[in-house]
Amino acid sequence: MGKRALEVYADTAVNFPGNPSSTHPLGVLAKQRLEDERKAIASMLGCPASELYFTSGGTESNAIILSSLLRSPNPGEIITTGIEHAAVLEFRNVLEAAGWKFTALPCPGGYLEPERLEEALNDKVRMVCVMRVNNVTGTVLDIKGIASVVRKYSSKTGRPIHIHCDAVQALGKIPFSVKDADIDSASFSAHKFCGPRGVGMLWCRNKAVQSLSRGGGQEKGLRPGTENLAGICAMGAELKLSSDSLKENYNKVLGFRCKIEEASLASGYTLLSPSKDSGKEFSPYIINICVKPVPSEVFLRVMSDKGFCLSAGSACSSNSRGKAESVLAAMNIDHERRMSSIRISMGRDTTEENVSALCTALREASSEFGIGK
Amino acid sequence: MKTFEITDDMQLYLIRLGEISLKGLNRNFFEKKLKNNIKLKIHPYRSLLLREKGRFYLYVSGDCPQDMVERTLKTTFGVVGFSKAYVCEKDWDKMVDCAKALIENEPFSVGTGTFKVECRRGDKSFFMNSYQIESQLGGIVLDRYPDMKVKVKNPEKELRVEVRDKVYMYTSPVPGPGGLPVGCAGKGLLLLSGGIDSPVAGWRMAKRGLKQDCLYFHAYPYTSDMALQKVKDLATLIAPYNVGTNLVVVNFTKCELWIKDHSKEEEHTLMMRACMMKVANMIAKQRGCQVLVTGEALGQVASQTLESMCFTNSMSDIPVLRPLVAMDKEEIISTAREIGTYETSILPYDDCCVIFSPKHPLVRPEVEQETKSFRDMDVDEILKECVDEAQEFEISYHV
Repeated sequence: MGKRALEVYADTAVNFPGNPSSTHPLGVLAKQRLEDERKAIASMLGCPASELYFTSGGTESNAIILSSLLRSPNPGEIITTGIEHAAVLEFRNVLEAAGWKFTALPCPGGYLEPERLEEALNDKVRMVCVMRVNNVTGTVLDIKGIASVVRKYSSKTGRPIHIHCDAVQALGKIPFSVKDADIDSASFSAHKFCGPRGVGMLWCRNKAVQSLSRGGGQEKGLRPGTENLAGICAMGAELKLSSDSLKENYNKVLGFRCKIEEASLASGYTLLSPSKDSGKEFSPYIINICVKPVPSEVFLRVMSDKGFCLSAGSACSSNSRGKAESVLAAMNIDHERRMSSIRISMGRDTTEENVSALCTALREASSEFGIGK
Repeated sequence: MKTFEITDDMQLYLIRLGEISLKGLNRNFFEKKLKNNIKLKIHPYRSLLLREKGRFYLYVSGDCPQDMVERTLKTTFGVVGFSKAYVCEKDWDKMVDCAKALIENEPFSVGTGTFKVECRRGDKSFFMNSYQIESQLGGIVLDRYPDMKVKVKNPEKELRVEVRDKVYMYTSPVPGPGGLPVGCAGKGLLLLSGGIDSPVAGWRMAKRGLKQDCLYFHAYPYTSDMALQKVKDLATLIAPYNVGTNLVVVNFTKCELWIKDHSKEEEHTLMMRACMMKVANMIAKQRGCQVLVTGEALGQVASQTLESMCFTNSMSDIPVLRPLVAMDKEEIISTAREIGTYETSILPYDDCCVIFSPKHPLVRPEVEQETKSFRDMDVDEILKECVDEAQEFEISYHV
């Protein structure tokens, strides 16, 4: 959590002790503070405050939208991509059990080709769910292009299709406004931009979406449960900081990313994320490299001994399966490369020194393992 | 025989011995081992073991937790069964007090079910005969627990009375692990991996009286420190049965990399087993171990075919015991569950990295050919280094 978030959290928790749903004066004050924050965040997102709902994070925001399909008396089809986060892909079993068809399109290289989506669309499709930034490789999907393909098809058939975007890895890191693309809902998570963990948002303009949860009617019934006012205000403060310095941070991290890419290639590793010179759109905050033939887990241990907390794209242990395994497979990355995939993530506080030390460590590890010999 | 009054702070256990009571002239040797093993595990609490008529009488100081005594007896090979017992003078009033005290404990304290009183009268001069003692004490049980019923054949609970130099009373025995006292059959070195089989193999050999040290081959960073911790945990779980153990950890990384670079891919596993045997032999010699023990079962994996076993045997100067050789996996798993190692063994921390496992390992190696391959690797210096740099961890016998 960022310093600013901590300050605001403490300040709000102390000065607004009331429950926003209570009618006593402290409750009314808290409610006022909550609505002020909603307006402030909505203006940063470029949406009306009435369309913004506070949740516990990206997973819950996605779940509200996806589980709303279960209320439909006539199951149809949902189209998504094979590179989505587990918060989306794990809904396959739930939706299929309820009679829905769950189509996860392959994304070679980490991008969804519009033609592939065009081919997949049919009159049973009720929802298209696509992420903005892939959390494993950093590829940025063309949500605007995807939305226009869906709307074009929709206008032909006259049937509405809800477009949902998991924008968890985008907000506060790359330019993102809900107005940019013609979409219906989007999910966000505060800890991705130095806010507190356990707080997030759902933007949804589709009034037909209904939650499966029941409770005290908070967040217009879409996310019932006592609001985490201090967490929400801390999130707003950090989103402002991130948004105000978005370009500056982006350029700084892009420079770091280029440095890591160059050091990786020079050390004999290969890239699983797009190269900086590929002309493809990517988020500089995530870069995925392949350390073949060393298994990811082994490489992580060595890097951890050198003081770096990286994550594996895949798990070589026979008894466990890496979270990113299916995502990399949907990108057409072969088994051997998946087993040696390493994800390096950065934040706006990453420093030049951090990156230089990382590049040195990557070079050392390469020579220790005899990579590229 | 030293006499003890029934006092609140003294506990008495009656221990049944199995196989060792059938031993001939060397019975004392086995009994001494068993006595020492029990006393060591109960230490620092004071205990005294007396032998009479094929049994041990274990007196433990009252401050020793009852749970500790019982866990000790359940994990000490040589103990076939045990009962908590009371002892009193051959005086009817005292016998009644003693029976009343005994039935306040388990298994009688539940107050329901079937029971019988069984009396054996070694001292025929006692003024009541066995039948009279049984009926009188049976009446006392029924007075205390009116819902209980007498059943002579296969009762759920028994109250046993022995009238000898004194009167001994105890309830149905709790089963012990049986076998022979650890240490009576010499010393071995157990090749302990993080899997299901090797802890069971060690347990089975300990049951035949073999004291064992354990040896683990660690290949950090190719295997994780969690895998090493898992092996330490497994050694801790089998240590009480083995009356403590020493875990020797060999850093095997350099050796594995050498094998990878200096042998054919299909031979990697065999060469690795050969190197392990060589290292195990050197360590066994240092520690006075007469045999190696492994968890191999015939045909379980490529390195456990008859041909592979012949080859690994040829790499060892001392015998290699494979107590699981004729067991199938389900049988091994069932023992692992029984001795409490299964849940640790299945934790997902592999003891060998995929990059050292050939896709198509040799399953029917020829001893001569593989011996030549082993020699050609010229790995002796590295193996010596492995032995010189091995680390040792002492694992307590306490349960």
